Amino acid sequence: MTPDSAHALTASLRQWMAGDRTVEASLLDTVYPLLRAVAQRQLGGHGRITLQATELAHEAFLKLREQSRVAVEDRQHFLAFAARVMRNLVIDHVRARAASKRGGDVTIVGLESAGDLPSLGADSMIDWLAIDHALRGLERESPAHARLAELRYFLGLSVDQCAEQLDVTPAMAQRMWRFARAWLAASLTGAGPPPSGASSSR
Amino acid sequence: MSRLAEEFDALSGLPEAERARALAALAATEPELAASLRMLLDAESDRIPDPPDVQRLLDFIPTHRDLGGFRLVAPLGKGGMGEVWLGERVQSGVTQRVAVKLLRADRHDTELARRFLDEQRIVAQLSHPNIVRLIGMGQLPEGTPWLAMDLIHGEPMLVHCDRCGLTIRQRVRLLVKVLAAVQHAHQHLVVHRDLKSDHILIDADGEPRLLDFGIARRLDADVLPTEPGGGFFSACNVSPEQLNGEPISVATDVYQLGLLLYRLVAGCEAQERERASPIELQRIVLEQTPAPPSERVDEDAARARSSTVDTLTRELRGDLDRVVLHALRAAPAERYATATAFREDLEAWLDSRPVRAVGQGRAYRLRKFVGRHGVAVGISGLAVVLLVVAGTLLLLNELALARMTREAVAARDAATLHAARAGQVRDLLLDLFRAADPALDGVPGNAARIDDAVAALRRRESIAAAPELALALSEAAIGLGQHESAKQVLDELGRHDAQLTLEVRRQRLLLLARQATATRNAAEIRKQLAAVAPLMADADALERAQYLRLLGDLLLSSDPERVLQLTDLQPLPPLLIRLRARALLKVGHTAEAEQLLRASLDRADVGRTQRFDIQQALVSALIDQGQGAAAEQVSRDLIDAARPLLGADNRAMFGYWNTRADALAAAGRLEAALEVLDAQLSRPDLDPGIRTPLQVNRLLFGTAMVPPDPQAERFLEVHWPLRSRYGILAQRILLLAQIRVLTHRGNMNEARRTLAAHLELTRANDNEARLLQQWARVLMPGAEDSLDPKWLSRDPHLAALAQSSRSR
Repeated sequence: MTPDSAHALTASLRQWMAGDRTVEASLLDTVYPLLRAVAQRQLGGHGRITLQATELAHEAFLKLREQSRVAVEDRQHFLAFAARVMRNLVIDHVRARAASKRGGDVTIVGLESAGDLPSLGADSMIDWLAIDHALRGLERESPAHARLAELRYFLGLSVDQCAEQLDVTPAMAQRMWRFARAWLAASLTGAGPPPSGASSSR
Repeated sequence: MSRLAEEFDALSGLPEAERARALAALAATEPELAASLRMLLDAESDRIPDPPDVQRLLDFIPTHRDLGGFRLVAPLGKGGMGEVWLGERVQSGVTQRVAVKLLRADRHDTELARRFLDEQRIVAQLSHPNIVRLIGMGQLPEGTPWLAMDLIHGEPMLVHCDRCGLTIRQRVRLLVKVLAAVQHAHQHLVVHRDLKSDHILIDADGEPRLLDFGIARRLDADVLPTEPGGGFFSACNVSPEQLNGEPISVATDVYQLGLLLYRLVAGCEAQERERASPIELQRIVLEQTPAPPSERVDEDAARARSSTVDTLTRELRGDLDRVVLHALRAAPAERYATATAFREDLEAWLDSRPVRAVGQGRAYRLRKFVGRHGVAVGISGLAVVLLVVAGTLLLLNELALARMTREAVAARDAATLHAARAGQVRDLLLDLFRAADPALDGVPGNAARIDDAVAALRRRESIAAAPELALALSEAAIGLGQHESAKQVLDELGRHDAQLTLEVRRQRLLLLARQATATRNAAEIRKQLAAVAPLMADADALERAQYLRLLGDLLLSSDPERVLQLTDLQPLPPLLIRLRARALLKVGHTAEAEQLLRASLDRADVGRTQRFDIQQALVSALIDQGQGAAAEQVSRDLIDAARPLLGADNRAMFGYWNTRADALAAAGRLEAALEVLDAQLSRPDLDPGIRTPLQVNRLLFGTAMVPPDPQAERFLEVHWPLRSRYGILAQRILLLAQIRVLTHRGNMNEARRTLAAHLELTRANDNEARLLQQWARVLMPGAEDSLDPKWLSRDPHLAALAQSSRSR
């Protein structure tokens, strides 16, 4: 990564943090290979190692910093984005499964050996789409809360870590999480997300 | 911060009772808000699902998201050959779902990947409902090729048939559809090479969908490589020709579908290949004839085919057995020649009509035909194959074949090729044309075949569209002596000159020059060479050598010095060795010629078949220098080396035997020389082009003997009066023979008169002319007495006469 493109990357990250969704696609294009490289290095030849999501994102960030001069505060942006990446991956996986199944038959798209279809986990009962839907609703309601939910849920950050990320007090973060969590729960079990209230001026 | 969040914040901090009161108050003024809040508060105690397992997520990270407009969404599976991903492309608002295969190999060879993609471009042109469509392709930055294709929901053919308990007839009907698809591919000159159940999916509509054409060769599947870097295949369906490193053809696909059919109907594999060692596998594939399917059925198989053992056996026995085994013959020429032929026999079986797979039939006849005309077909066939390779890329890109074609290119102007190879190549060529046009079903006969092919090309107006194929065809025609056809194609190609690439134009002119050589049309050769000269600037080394050779042949008799100039190259291309040697001989530098030839024999870049030509030239050079014994030695080496390689029927062998006879004669062993010639002359169906030189040589040696060989004398009696019909060289020989015989009989005056009447024949530089010159010195009055002893040893009559005249 050249200094120029690193610059562009950090600029894009900032834009994204500020709410600009148009840069998301190009960011994904840049970040995916990094994550993949990190993941492969971690796993390379040793089979499954335990890897936390945060570690993954952290590693990826380090790699990014190795290749260019990326400032510290951008780490926060990067982590936030990494969480989004994780979320995207989950959704993509779900869509792939949907595409590959039809009436219960499993597709084999002509693989040489027993091509096993990777799955996200034992608990395939989770309706990831619903969670995604809920998060999107939350985002419309309050982007900050959604960000936090993503960080906690997809990167596994602790509440305190989230506080640091979002630049709020731990207590504040705690309260935010409480709301976000309730939102998710309500969406998943109830008849849909609650209607949005008006924003306050605060 | 949203209002809802604020209120929630506030409420959740309150104790139970207060909260309820606050809510109620809010409900009065803002009922929706209150309702939402209540919902949220109620949900607080609910569980939310655990976050996803990161481990697994890692599988889902694609290395590249965007592949030429296709976005990798998520992996669908991994196999030995790489990964398959779900891909998407959004075009005009419609999301197209595809399967993207990332083809990984251990070695990242960008060149191989690029060539692989070139071939897949041809596969992408296939448009058939039963062939999975290739939609896009490209290379990742690190060189890994990827292919995007229709996403298919389906299962492998065998799995499907067994799961659904399909009957034999139902299975055969499915295979018939597969064969139709394969035929379509063949008509586009694409051979699959790795047909098996895994590559034939049956979709939800019960339709077969073929995939992975030409992929197997690129990938490190479970492996028995023929050569490093090319031609990988898996043991389970490898064909005999693949194991032998021989060319792949449409018959290879036929074989593999035969294996599949066997498994489909019998319920077990035709051969036990799975646990075989490489040596055992060789033996099994090349030698073991499978037992008829009807003899292999068991309970399980019958059940999976919704039948009983007895019924199943009866159904398979007889015709279907024969059809399956016909497709599985070890020799490609003995199988169904095309997928269509295979399909037609299966359809005949379905209709309870007789099948054709009863014997070797045409394949047998064709093989016999090849045996007789092996070489002539061989050269042209292989040369054709070479150019077709350039045109289609997929069919013949085997390393073994590539090596063979390189040799053939070097030996292209010489008539030498292993007869067996020639047959394979010829079959391939025939398959090619036949596959391209099913209507082409001519009587065996190369002339007819070539003419048919020319007609087919023209009918389809393909000469301009497929210039390389047209060039290949005309080269084949030239090799077979069909100059009319060659000229037709080349002329027609010439009409589209403006559209042709530089390379094609150059090749075309070189071929026109070669064609003119065959008809000895010096003016025409000159014209074509002049036309191609300006295009030679970026010709490759081979073309430059071809050009020089054509030019050199033209100039050899008139200006050998110039030829020496032209061939003064370091290193000297193998194509030009003989030319230079001949030029050296012409200017009298015989020692240098001999040196050149001997040195060339040690060169690594000289092909085996070229070595023979060089040895042959060396024999001539040695004979020229009067070194009969050395010439005889080299000629013996030549025969010993050439015979096992070329086979007795090879046209070139005749030439080498002739050379042997020359050498034996030069060494004074005239009887042996005659024996050699007689052995060749006794072959049936000898080409007149070969018979005449042999006979003339026999005459030469026969009359050199003392007393002259009676058969030679008889020949002379018959042909002397007809001498004006022969070429100059033959006339010279006839004259020489006549003089010898006359002299032997004591008719000196008549001998003298005869020589005087044909003095013009003595004016040349070849051996016979020189001999005649010596004769002139002895016979003519006023001639000098000094005779060249070198010549005396060549002609006992001359020696005897010289002796007696000296003693007079």
